[in-house]
Amino acid sequence: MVTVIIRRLLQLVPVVLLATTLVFVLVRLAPGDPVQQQLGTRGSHDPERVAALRQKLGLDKPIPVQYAIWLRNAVTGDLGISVKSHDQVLDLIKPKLVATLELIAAALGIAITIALLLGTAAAVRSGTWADQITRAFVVTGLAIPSYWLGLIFLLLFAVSLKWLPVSGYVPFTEDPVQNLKHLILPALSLGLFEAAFFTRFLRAGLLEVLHQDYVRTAQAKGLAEQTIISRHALQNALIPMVTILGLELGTLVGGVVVIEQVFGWPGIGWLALTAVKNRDYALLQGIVLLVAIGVSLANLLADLSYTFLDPRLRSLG
Amino acid sequence: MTESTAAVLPETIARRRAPTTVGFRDRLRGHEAFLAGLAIIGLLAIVSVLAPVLAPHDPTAIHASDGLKPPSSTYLLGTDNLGRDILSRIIYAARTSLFVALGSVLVAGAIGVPLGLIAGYAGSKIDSVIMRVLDAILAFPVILLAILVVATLGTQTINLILTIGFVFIPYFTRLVRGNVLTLKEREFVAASRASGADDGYLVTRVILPNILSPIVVQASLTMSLAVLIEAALSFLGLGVQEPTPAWGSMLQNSQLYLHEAPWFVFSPGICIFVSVLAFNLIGDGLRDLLDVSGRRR
Repeated sequence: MVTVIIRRLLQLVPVVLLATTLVFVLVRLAPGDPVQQQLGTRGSHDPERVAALRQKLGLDKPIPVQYAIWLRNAVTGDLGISVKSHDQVLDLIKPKLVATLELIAAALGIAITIALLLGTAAAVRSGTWADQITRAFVVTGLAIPSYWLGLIFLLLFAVSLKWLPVSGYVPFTEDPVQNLKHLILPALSLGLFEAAFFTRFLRAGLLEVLHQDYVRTAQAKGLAEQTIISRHALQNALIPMVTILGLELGTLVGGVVVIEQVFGWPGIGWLALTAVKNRDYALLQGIVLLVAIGVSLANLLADLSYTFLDPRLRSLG
Repeated sequence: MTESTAAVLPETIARRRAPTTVGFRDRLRGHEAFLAGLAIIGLLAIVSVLAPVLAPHDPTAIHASDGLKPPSSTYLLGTDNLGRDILSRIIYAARTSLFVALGSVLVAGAIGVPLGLIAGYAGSKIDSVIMRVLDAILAFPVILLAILVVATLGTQTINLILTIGFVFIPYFTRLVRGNVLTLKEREFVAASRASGADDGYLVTRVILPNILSPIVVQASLTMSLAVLIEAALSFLGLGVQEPTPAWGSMLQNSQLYLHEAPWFVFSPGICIFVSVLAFNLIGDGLRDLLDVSGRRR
């Protein structure tokens, strides 16, 4: 098992390297010069100031050299300084990461709860109204853009009913109640799409499991329906869900970028868009590096937990 | 037994026993969702083509005195902050949306499919190089990657198409590669090879025709994602630029006027929802009809 983990971790290295190279090249091909942008039209006429700032930010060297330097520093945890604010990139990212992770966790919580309830109901009562409603929810949920749902929620709960704040973020440590109030709408907007996605998989998985021999054996033994579903069927149907969960993290992070804009949630996505607009090379690279590592690790974890949860696969590892 | 049941019974039995001999029209029975999806996209296509005829107003004409007017007989869906007719704008936006979606799926397919054929057929080193590069692309959330590429290329329509096409290349390559890997071990491929077919012929004439079905299904589902991504980029201000109307940028605009013009937020969103839904229905329907096995249901 340990060798499997190590081997898989090593496979991540080229993927992350390639991903960072891609970003490095893309960002530098982009039109607009961060130095000129920062100095303004008047400042950029002074070649000495331009050269000085370029040197300070390390932008005077050839791109491959810049990349090598960045990579060497990144390995030691130094992601450089922001071109715009001159702060350490890592210090800028940390607080935003907390906000984004909170949003993702809440959205996942909502999605999994709904999927468990609806997916189970639909599979167990296959063909009934519960199933019909679930299928309608899935088809609709998968087609509604989360940010539009967010806007509708804003209109309903924030603008019309005034139950919840329109936008913003309050750290949990400052005021837990306000934090949760701000969290509800973005988490719901993001969570409902994922809920539809998970529900479809859980329903399909459960339907398959419910026709297996061991479920029939459990029924023949006279076990209560609830015990059969929770102890036998659901446990097995949830295994493929873990993989889906890992793979969906990427989609969730993508959704977060847009939802954070709608609700003024100061997270990673919001920071990334600001970095794009400011041509803040170092900041953007730092964000992308962390996201690429995070998503790849989540996929890896999902794969590994699959082996861990299904004893039949363990000997194969 | 009455006459009618006697007449019906043999037919149902025949259908069960020999499903391959049943015509395409018969198979469409029970696939109303697929047909509905097809009808919606057909309608959208007609609306896009006939936009100049159908739109009651010029989509970019500014009527400063009619800003944020609620729906009325002059402006059926109301006006935006500049007094532009919302109905005319969503009609013209359908054009942009379908065009970008279709273009980007074609780009993704045109690059992704050959890459998949090469990776799957050549195997070994070429395969692992192609797949590692694609893994790197897949390590980014689609939107984040699209933001990066659009920021590099700029927001002209052609660049939007290239960007969205680029992020979907791995979807096609992975699918094609997987299918090629299974197919190239099959007898009929070995038979063609034994009868003297070269690699180029094998890949394009023997293997490719057999994987068209999953490619078509993937293309249709990718269309729905492309509509979503284009709308999201436009919503973030990185997609279609003013004054050209796009559903996403209209939504971005509507957020500023949620208080004054709550009707503004509905129509562009419904358009995105309905077209994404339709492409999903078509994709799922095609999967059933073409009998492509997949984990989605």
